[in-house]
Formats: sequence, C-alpha cells, structure tokens
Amino acid sequence: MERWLETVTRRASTWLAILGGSRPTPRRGWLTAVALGVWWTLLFAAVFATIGRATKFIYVDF
Amino acid sequence: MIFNELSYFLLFLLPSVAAFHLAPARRRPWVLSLFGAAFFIYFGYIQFGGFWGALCVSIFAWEILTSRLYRPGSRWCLFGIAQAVLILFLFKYLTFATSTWNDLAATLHLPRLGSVARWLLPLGISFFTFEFIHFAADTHQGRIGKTSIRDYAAFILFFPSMVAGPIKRFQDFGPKLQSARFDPVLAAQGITRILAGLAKKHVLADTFALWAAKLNGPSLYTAHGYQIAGWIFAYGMQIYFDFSGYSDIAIGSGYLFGIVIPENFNWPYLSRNINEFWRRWHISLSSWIRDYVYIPLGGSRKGEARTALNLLVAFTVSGIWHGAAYNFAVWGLWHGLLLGAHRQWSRRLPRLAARVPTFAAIGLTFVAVNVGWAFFCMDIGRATVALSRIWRWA
Repeated sequence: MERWLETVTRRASTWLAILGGSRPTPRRGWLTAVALGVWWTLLFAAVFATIGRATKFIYVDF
Repeated sequence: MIFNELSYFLLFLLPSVAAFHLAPARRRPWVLSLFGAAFFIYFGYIQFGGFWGALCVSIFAWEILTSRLYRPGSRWCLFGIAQAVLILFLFKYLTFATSTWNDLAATLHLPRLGSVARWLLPLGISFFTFEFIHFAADTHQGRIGKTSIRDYAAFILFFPSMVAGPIKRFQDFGPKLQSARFDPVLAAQGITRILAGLAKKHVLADTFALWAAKLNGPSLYTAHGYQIAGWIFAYGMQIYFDFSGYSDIAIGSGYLFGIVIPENFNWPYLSRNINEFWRRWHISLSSWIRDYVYIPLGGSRKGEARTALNLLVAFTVSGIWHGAAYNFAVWGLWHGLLLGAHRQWSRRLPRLAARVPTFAAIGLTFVAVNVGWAFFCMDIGRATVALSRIWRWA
C-alpha cells in the first residue's frame, strides 16, 4: 500500500514540479512549446481573474 | 507587494535581464548592482519610508566599503558582523527592546527609558543583514577567498532575492554569476515559475486568507472550536502558498538571468517529523540559523541538555527574526521544544518511532506545525483563546 502511494506521490510531485517551473519539461519540440504556451495562458488568466484581493505578501515587511 | 506589481516587471526585471545579457561578461555584475540599487531606491521611496527609506541604500554602499577590509581571521570581519546586527537592531528591534525594558522596569521598580517610536523599516532589512553576516563570518573562517567589489555588490544588490530571500550564500552565487548565460530552456522554466508563483499567491493564498482573516476578527470569541481549527489550517495554507509563491517568483526571476538561486521549499507539509519539516520549510533561513546560530553555540556536540538549550535558543532567535513581538518568540520556542522532543523520541525509542505509519507521522507533524501558526498569526492572548477553544471543542 505504502509503495503504491509512494509511486503515485512521486509521479504527482514530478508533474507538479514541471507545471510549477521547478523542473524542465521532459521533452522538447513544437508540441511542448504549444502546451507550455497554453499553460502560461491559463496561469495568466487565473492570476488576472483573482488579482487585487489581498495583495500584500506576508514576508515582505519582515 | 513588489513582486505582484507591474512596475517590478516593466521597470526592473525585463530591462535588467535584457541589459544583463547584452552587456559584456565583466560588466554584468555592475548591471545587477545598478538595477538593484535603483530597485531599492524606487520601492524604498514609494513603500518603505519615502526619502529616508530610499536613502537606506547607503547601507549597501557602506557594507560594500567595509567588506573590502575583511580577511580570514581579521577583526574587521567581527566588526562587519557587529555592524550588521546593530543595523538590524536599530531599525527593527529598538522600539520592542525599549518597551520590553519599560514593562520590566515597571514591575521591578527600575528606571524607565524614554519610549522610542519605530522610525522606518528599510526594505528587506531582515534578509540583507543576514547575507552581510554570512559574508563576514565565512570570510573570517576562511571559507570565502578574495572577492572583487563588483561581485560582492552584485551579490548583495541582486534584487530578485533582496526583499524576502531566498537568503543566498556568496560561495554559491559568485560562480553562478560568472558563468551566467542566456539559456532558453531555463528562461522558459523561469517564466513558468513566475506565473506559477503569482497563481499560488493570488488564486490560492488570497483565497485561504479570506478564512484566516477571521482569526484576527471578533468572530474568534463566538466561533466553535472546529471553525477556529479550520481558520488556523487556512492560515497554514495561506502562509505556505504566499511565501512559496514569493520564492517561486524570486527563483524564476533568477532563471531569466541564467542564475539558479537556492530553493526555499520542498513539500514541507508532507514531512514525517518536525526535523524533516525544518529541512523543507524556508530552507535558506533554517540553514542560516543552523550555520550561524546553532552550530556556533555548540550544536549537538556538547551533550543532550546543551543540545536542547541550543535548539531552544536557535529557534527563539528564528522566531524573533520573524517579528519584534512576543508571539513570534513563542512560535520559535514552540518549534525549539518540538525539535527537542523529537530528538529524544527518535533516540530513546527508535524502533517505535520507525513503526509509526507514514500517514500518522505526516498528520501529527502537520497538526504540530499548525498549532505553532496560531502564535505566528495572532498575539499571545488571541492564540491562547483560539487553542483553548479548540482543545475544549467549544
């Protein structure tokens, strides 16, 4: 059970790291570039839609 | 603010990245220093104390000048450490220290000091003073050799990490600065990281903030324990997404220059114990505290009692670093106690410790960390009310 969970967690964390920019994309080519462009657009849209609620970063005044 | 302002990207990040890559290699550190100083003056002026806030850029000029005197084993390094501590104390802790003294003086019938109002808090002071201390201490120990003024200026004025870290090390940054080149793969990763950081902040952290804000409102006294527990959990998620998002933007900005700065987070809420948590949460600060507070105090080399005391001192320092208030000291003390308890538990009952299921270990660590957040986001009185209401489930 724990080994299965570890495999799933490892794969999920790898993909989240790629989507978050902590790891490079595993493949290069035009399809990856398109996918990356779509992902950037989605992120930008999400940020644009939610910006301006509570804008202060907690650690900036430290 | 800052990283989520258009002026950060349009006035500083994009022009400096372009100028950095267009400049000859030997001039690149000067490009970073120039933009770093302009960044400090601009945001210091508009957000951190107006004219006087902007004038605090002279702290960097003074530090660059005095750093030229540092040599391995030299007393100038100790002077450098002392002046960084003094700068931090004067700007951040003087008001707190005088009011604490006056509280004590009233109880013990001692002479009171005049109250000191906080004048201004220079942009990023908690972070850049720690980099000053690191440089002076490591030069004193002989861990940093001869450095050029331009590399050191670029190190302390590297604006993506100036305001809230990650806290860099010169030994790591210097070679990366010299070998920096435009790498399209790293730059694409940097853009992803900046956008993901902004999304963490605005989509996730700001949503959790809606619930966490109730902790400092009147509903704390009327809500049920389970609601308060939920709000503290929300604060735990808010601070994670807020600060890891901030670090993502700083690291992603570094990628655009071709410079990889240290990571600050590594899935901290999946830690199986508190020791692991501190290796995965705000990594650049916890490693700084380890190297410049815990180890110089003796670390774990002087017996169990002294190790426990060193942990308490190191984490109380870490707590007070977060803010000049008692609640931050209690937060640090809580983590020092947890680390001490974990150390005893894992040394005295290693077989039992190894048999705790991963799920339970992660859950218990998460709950312990969230208890600490109560003292981080509220004053001691409110945190005590919150935790006692959760405890009574009322």
